[in-house]
Amino acid sequence: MPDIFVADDNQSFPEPQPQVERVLIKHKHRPRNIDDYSAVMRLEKPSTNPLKWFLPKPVRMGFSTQSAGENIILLLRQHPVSQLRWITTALLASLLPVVFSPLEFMGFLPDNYRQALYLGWYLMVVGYTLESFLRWFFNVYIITDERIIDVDFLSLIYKNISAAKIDKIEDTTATTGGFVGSIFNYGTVTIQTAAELREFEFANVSSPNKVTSLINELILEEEREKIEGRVQ
Amino acid sequence: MFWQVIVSPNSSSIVPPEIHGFLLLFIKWCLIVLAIFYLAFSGVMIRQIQIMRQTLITSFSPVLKMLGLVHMAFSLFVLFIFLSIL
Repeated sequence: MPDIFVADDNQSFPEPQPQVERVLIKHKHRPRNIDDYSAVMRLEKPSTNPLKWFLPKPVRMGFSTQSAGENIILLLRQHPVSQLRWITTALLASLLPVVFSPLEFMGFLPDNYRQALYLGWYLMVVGYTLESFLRWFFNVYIITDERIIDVDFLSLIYKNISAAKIDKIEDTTATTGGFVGSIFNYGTVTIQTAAELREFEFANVSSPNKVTSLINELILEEEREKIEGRVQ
Repeated sequence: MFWQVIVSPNSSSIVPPEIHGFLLLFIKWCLIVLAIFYLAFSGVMIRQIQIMRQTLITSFSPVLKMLGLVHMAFSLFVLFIFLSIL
Protein backbone atom coordinates (compact mmCIF):
# COMPACT_ATOMS: atom_id res chain seq x y z
CA MET A 1 0.00 0.00 0.00
CA PRO A 2 1.49 3.25 -1.03
CA ASP A 3 2.43 5.81 1.61
CA ILE A 4 0.45 8.94 1.75
CA PHE A 5 2.58 11.83 0.48
CA VAL A 6 3.33 14.28 3.22
CA ALA A 7 4.88 17.58 2.20
CA ASP A 8 8.04 18.63 3.98
CA ASP A 9 7.43 21.78 5.98
CA ASN A 10 11.01 22.99 5.56
CA GLN A 11 10.97 22.70 1.80
CA SER A 12 10.97 26.14 0.23
CA PHE A 13 9.67 26.94 -3.17
CA PRO A 14 11.07 29.80 -5.21
CA GLU A 15 9.00 32.91 -5.28
CA PRO A 16 7.33 33.45 -8.62
CA GLN A 17 9.30 36.10 -10.49
CA PRO A 18 7.47 38.82 -12.35
CA GLN A 19 7.88 38.54 -16.08
CA VAL A 20 10.09 41.51 -16.82
CA GLU A 21 11.88 41.89 -20.07
CA ARG A 22 15.58 42.39 -19.37
CA VAL A 23 16.99 45.15 -21.46
CA LEU A 24 20.73 45.30 -21.80
CA ILE A 25 21.94 48.84 -22.32
CA LYS A 26 25.10 48.90 -24.32
CA HIS A 27 27.20 52.05 -24.05
CA LYS A 28 29.53 52.83 -26.82
CA HIS A 29 32.99 53.65 -25.42
CA ARG A 30 33.43 56.45 -27.85
CA PRO A 31 34.33 59.81 -26.29
CA ARG A 32 32.19 62.68 -27.39
CA ASN A 33 33.60 65.45 -29.47
CA ILE A 34 34.63 68.52 -27.50
CA ASP A 35 32.24 70.72 -29.51
CA ASP A 36 29.33 68.57 -28.33
CA TYR A 37 29.68 69.59 -24.71
CA SER A 38 31.90 72.67 -24.51
CA ALA A 39 30.38 76.05 -25.24
CA VAL A 40 33.83 77.63 -24.99
CA MET A 41 35.44 75.40 -27.58
CA ARG A 42 32.45 75.48 -29.91
CA LEU A 43 33.27 79.12 -30.64
CA GLU A 44 36.95 78.47 -31.29
CA LYS A 45 38.41 77.41 -34.62
CA PRO A 46 41.12 74.74 -34.77
CA SER A 47 44.53 76.39 -34.53
CA THR A 48 47.14 75.62 -37.17
CA ASN A 49 49.78 78.19 -36.21
CA PRO A 50 52.19 76.55 -33.72
CA LEU A 51 53.69 79.90 -32.69
CA LYS A 52 50.52 81.23 -31.07
CA TRP A 53 50.07 81.36 -27.32
CA PHE A 54 46.39 80.31 -27.23
CA LEU A 55 45.87 77.23 -29.37
CA PRO A 56 42.40 75.72 -29.20
CA LYS A 57 42.06 72.28 -30.83
CA PRO A 58 45.62 72.44 -32.21
CA VAL A 59 46.23 70.68 -35.50
CA ARG A 60 49.30 68.46 -36.03
CA MET A 61 50.50 68.79 -32.44
CA GLY A 62 51.17 66.22 -29.77
CA PHE A 63 53.21 65.48 -26.69
CA SER A 64 55.38 62.63 -25.49
CA THR A 65 53.07 61.18 -22.82
CA GLN A 66 49.92 61.41 -24.92
CA SER A 67 47.92 58.20 -24.77
CA ALA A 68 45.97 56.69 -27.63
CA GLY A 69 42.65 58.42 -28.13
CA GLU A 70 43.61 61.37 -25.97
CA ASN A 71 42.94 64.66 -27.74
CA ILE A 72 44.51 68.02 -27.02
CA ILE A 73 41.75 70.51 -26.45
CA LEU A 74 43.75 73.58 -25.54
CA LEU A 75 47.46 74.35 -25.58
CA LEU A 76 48.65 77.45 -23.78
CA ARG A 77 51.87 79.42 -23.60
CA GLN A 78 52.67 82.51 -21.61
CA HIS A 79 51.34 85.70 -23.16
CA PRO A 80 54.03 87.52 -25.22
CA VAL A 81 53.54 90.69 -23.19
CA SER A 82 54.85 88.81 -20.16
CA GLN A 83 57.96 87.99 -22.20
CA LEU A 84 58.84 91.62 -22.84
CA ARG A 85 61.70 91.50 -20.35
CA TRP A 86 63.91 89.17 -22.39
CA ILE A 87 62.77 90.67 -25.70
CA THR A 88 63.76 94.16 -24.51
CA THR A 89 67.04 92.88 -23.06
CA ALA A 90 67.93 91.20 -26.35
CA LEU A 91 67.08 94.32 -28.35
CA LEU A 92 69.09 96.62 -26.07
CA ALA A 93 72.01 94.18 -26.02
CA SER A 94 72.07 94.07 -29.81
CA LEU A 95 72.11 97.87 -29.94
CA LEU A 96 74.86 98.23 -27.34
CA PRO A 97 77.86 98.01 -29.73
CA VAL A 98 76.21 100.55 -32.05
CA VAL A 99 75.73 102.96 -29.14
CA PHE A 100 79.19 102.53 -27.68
CA SER A 101 81.32 102.33 -30.84
CA PRO A 102 81.26 106.13 -31.53
CA LEU A 103 82.40 106.74 -27.94
CA GLU A 104 85.65 104.90 -28.63
CA PHE A 105 85.08 102.91 -25.51
CA MET A 106 87.46 100.23 -26.74
CA GLY A 107 89.71 102.57 -28.72
CA PHE A 108 92.73 101.32 -26.83
CA LEU A 109 92.37 97.86 -28.38
CA PRO A 110 93.65 96.92 -31.86
CA ASP A 111 91.03 96.71 -34.60
CA ASN A 112 91.06 92.92 -34.85
CA TYR A 113 90.42 92.63 -31.10
CA ARG A 114 87.49 95.02 -31.35
CA GLN A 115 85.96 93.10 -34.24
CA ALA A 116 86.40 89.84 -32.35
CA LEU A 117 84.73 91.29 -29.27
CA TYR A 118 81.77 92.58 -31.28
CA LEU A 119 81.41 89.21 -32.96
CA GLY A 120 81.53 87.40 -29.60
CA TRP A 121 79.00 89.84 -28.17
CA TYR A 122 76.53 89.24 -31.00
CA LEU A 123 77.01 85.48 -30.65
CA MET A 124 76.02 85.74 -27.00
CA VAL A 125 72.98 87.89 -27.85
CA VAL A 126 71.87 85.31 -30.42
CA GLY A 127 72.37 82.52 -27.86
CA TYR A 128 70.44 84.37 -25.17
CA THR A 129 67.56 85.13 -27.57
CA LEU A 130 67.37 81.57 -28.84
CA GLU A 131 67.49 80.09 -25.35
CA SER A 132 64.76 82.47 -24.12
CA PHE A 133 62.60 81.74 -27.14
CA LEU A 134 62.99 77.98 -26.67
CA ARG A 135 61.99 78.30 -23.04
CA TRP A 136 58.88 80.26 -24.03
CA PHE A 137 58.00 77.94 -26.89
CA PHE A 138 58.34 74.66 -25.02
CA ASN A 139 57.00 75.69 -21.59
CA VAL A 140 53.40 74.82 -22.31
CA TYR A 141 50.22 74.06 -20.47
CA ILE A 142 48.12 71.39 -22.13
CA ILE A 143 44.48 70.58 -21.49
CA THR A 144 43.31 67.31 -23.01
CA ASP A 145 39.97 65.55 -22.69
CA GLU A 146 41.52 63.38 -19.95
CA ARG A 147 44.20 65.42 -18.17
CA ILE A 148 45.87 68.74 -17.56
CA ILE A 149 49.61 68.80 -18.15
CA ASP A 150 52.24 71.33 -17.18
CA VAL A 151 55.51 71.07 -19.14
CA ASP A 152 58.36 73.02 -17.56
CA PHE A 153 61.85 73.41 -18.94
CA LEU A 154 63.35 75.35 -16.07
CA SER A 155 66.80 75.47 -17.63
CA LEU A 156 68.60 73.84 -20.51
CA ILE A 157 69.21 70.69 -18.52
CA TYR A 158 66.14 70.44 -16.26
CA LYS A 159 62.72 69.26 -17.38
CA ASN A 160 59.59 68.76 -15.29
CA ILE A 161 56.27 67.39 -16.56
CA SER A 162 53.31 67.30 -14.17
CA ALA A 163 49.89 65.92 -14.98
CA ALA A 164 46.57 65.45 -13.21
CA LYS A 165 43.45 63.72 -14.39
CA ILE A 166 40.41 65.90 -14.95
CA ASP A 167 38.39 64.01 -12.31
CA LYS A 168 41.05 64.88 -9.70
CA ILE A 169 40.51 68.61 -10.14
CA GLU A 170 38.81 70.16 -7.14
CA ASP A 171 38.89 73.86 -7.77
CA THR A 172 39.96 76.38 -10.40
CA THR A 173 40.68 80.07 -9.96
CA ALA A 174 41.42 82.71 -12.59
CA THR A 175 43.37 85.76 -11.53
CA THR A 176 43.90 88.78 -13.74
CA GLY A 177 45.97 91.40 -12.03
CA GLY A 178 47.57 94.66 -12.96
CA PHE A 179 47.07 97.27 -15.62
CA VAL A 180 48.84 95.39 -18.43
CA GLY A 181 47.15 92.09 -17.59
CA SER A 182 43.72 93.69 -17.76
CA ILE A 183 44.42 95.43 -21.06
CA PHE A 184 45.83 92.37 -22.81
CA ASN A 185 43.50 89.94 -21.03
CA TYR A 186 46.02 87.57 -19.54
CA GLY A 187 46.42 86.19 -16.06
CA THR A 188 47.07 83.15 -13.96
CA VAL A 189 44.85 80.09 -13.63
CA THR A 190 45.33 78.16 -10.41
CA ILE A 191 44.04 74.60 -10.32
CA GLN A 192 43.69 72.71 -7.04
CA THR A 193 43.79 68.95 -7.45
CA ALA A 194 43.63 65.79 -5.40
CA ALA A 195 46.55 64.43 -7.39
CA GLU A 196 50.12 64.12 -6.17
CA LEU A 197 50.85 67.68 -7.20
CA ARG A 198 48.30 69.66 -5.23
CA GLU A 199 48.38 72.83 -7.23
CA PHE A 200 48.87 73.62 -10.89
CA GLU A 201 49.56 77.15 -11.95
CA PHE A 202 49.10 78.24 -15.55
CA ALA A 203 51.00 81.50 -15.32
CA ASN A 204 50.37 84.49 -17.61
CA VAL A 205 48.01 82.68 -19.96
CA SER A 206 45.67 84.43 -22.35
CA SER A 207 41.92 84.54 -21.55
CA PRO A 208 42.08 82.93 -18.08
CA ASN A 209 38.28 83.03 -17.75
CA LYS A 210 37.87 80.92 -20.86
CA VAL A 211 40.37 78.43 -19.48
CA THR A 212 38.52 78.03 -16.18
CA SER A 213 35.18 77.72 -18.00
CA LEU A 214 36.63 75.01 -20.20
CA ILE A 215 38.03 73.10 -17.23
CA ASN A 216 34.64 73.28 -15.50
CA GLU A 217 32.97 71.92 -18.63
CA LEU A 218 35.48 69.09 -18.76
CA ILE A 219 34.84 68.24 -15.11
CA LEU A 220 31.10 68.11 -15.77
CA GLU A 221 31.63 65.91 -18.84
CA GLU A 222 33.85 63.58 -16.81
CA GLU A 223 31.10 63.23 -14.20
CA ARG A 224 28.56 62.63 -16.94
CA GLU A 225 30.78 59.90 -18.40
CA LYS A 226 30.91 58.18 -15.02
CA ILE A 227 27.15 58.29 -14.59
CA GLU A 228 26.48 57.03 -18.09
CA GLY A 229 29.16 54.37 -17.84
CA ARG A 230 31.27 55.81 -20.62
CA VAL A 231 34.41 55.84 -18.50
CA GLN A 232 37.31 54.32 -20.38
CA MET B 1 90.76 105.11 -18.40
CA PHE B 2 93.23 103.20 -16.24
CA TRP B 3 92.79 100.13 -18.43
CA GLN B 4 93.25 102.27 -21.55
CA VAL B 5 96.52 103.66 -20.21
CA ILE B 6 97.81 100.16 -19.44
CA VAL B 7 96.87 98.53 -22.73
CA SER B 8 97.28 101.43 -25.16
CA PRO B 9 100.27 100.89 -27.45
CA ASN B 10 100.97 104.58 -27.96
CA SER B 11 103.58 106.63 -26.15
CA SER B 12 101.27 107.60 -23.30
CA SER B 13 101.31 104.00 -22.05
CA ILE B 14 102.82 103.56 -18.64
CA VAL B 15 103.41 99.89 -19.30
CA PRO B 16 106.43 98.56 -21.20
CA PRO B 17 105.64 97.09 -24.68
CA GLU B 18 106.42 93.52 -23.60
CA ILE B 19 103.82 93.68 -20.81
CA HIS B 20 101.34 95.28 -23.20
CA GLY B 21 101.90 92.36 -25.58
CA PHE B 22 101.41 89.92 -22.72
CA LEU B 23 98.07 91.55 -21.84
CA LEU B 24 96.85 91.26 -25.43
CA LEU B 25 97.92 87.62 -25.45
CA PHE B 26 96.05 87.10 -22.17
CA ILE B 27 92.89 88.68 -23.64
CA LYS B 28 93.26 86.56 -26.77
CA TRP B 29 93.42 83.29 -24.84
CA CYS B 30 90.58 84.33 -22.56
CA LEU B 31 88.42 84.93 -25.64
CA ILE B 32 89.44 81.60 -27.19
CA VAL B 33 88.66 79.67 -24.01
CA LEU B 34 85.30 81.45 -23.76
CA ALA B 35 84.55 80.57 -27.39
CA ILE B 36 85.37 76.90 -26.69
CA PHE B 37 83.01 76.90 -23.69
CA TYR B 38 80.37 78.61 -25.80
CA LEU B 39 80.73 75.93 -28.47
CA ALA B 40 80.08 73.29 -25.79
CA PHE B 41 77.04 75.30 -24.65
CA SER B 42 75.67 75.38 -28.20
CA GLY B 43 76.10 71.60 -28.35
CA VAL B 44 74.09 71.26 -25.13
CA MET B 45 71.46 73.52 -26.66
CA ILE B 46 71.12 71.24 -29.70
CA ARG B 47 70.66 68.25 -27.40
CA GLN B 48 68.07 70.18 -25.42
CA ILE B 49 66.17 71.12 -28.57
CA GLN B 50 66.11 67.42 -29.42
CA ILE B 51 64.61 66.57 -26.00
CA MET B 52 62.13 69.44 -26.24
CA ARG B 53 61.05 68.31 -29.71
CA GLN B 54 60.36 64.83 -28.38
CA THR B 55 58.35 66.26 -25.50
CA LEU B 56 56.21 68.63 -27.55
CA ILE B 57 55.64 67.65 -31.15
CA THR B 58 54.86 70.58 -33.45
CA SER B 59 55.24 71.40 -37.10
CA PHE B 60 57.64 74.21 -36.14
CA SER B 61 60.17 71.88 -34.48
CA PRO B 62 62.32 71.28 -37.62
CA VAL B 63 62.84 75.04 -37.87
CA LEU B 64 64.05 75.13 -34.26
CA LYS B 65 66.43 72.26 -34.93
CA MET B 66 67.79 74.23 -37.87
CA LEU B 67 68.17 77.35 -35.68
CA GLY B 68 70.13 75.32 -33.14
CA LEU B 69 72.45 74.02 -35.85
CA VAL B 70 72.92 77.52 -37.29
CA HIS B 71 73.74 78.78 -33.78
CA MET B 72 76.34 76.05 -33.34
CA ALA B 73 77.82 76.82 -36.76
CA PHE B 74 78.01 80.50 -35.79
CA SER B 75 79.81 79.68 -32.53
CA LEU B 76 82.26 77.45 -34.45
CA PHE B 77 82.82 80.27 -36.93
CA VAL B 78 83.51 82.71 -34.08
CA LEU B 79 86.03 80.28 -32.57
CA PHE B 80 87.86 80.06 -35.90
CA ILE B 81 87.79 83.82 -36.24
CA PHE B 82 89.28 84.19 -32.75
CA LEU B 83 91.99 81.68 -33.62
CA SER B 84 92.80 83.33 -36.93
CA ILE B 85 92.55 87.10 -36.44
CA LEU B 86 93.72 87.47 -32.86
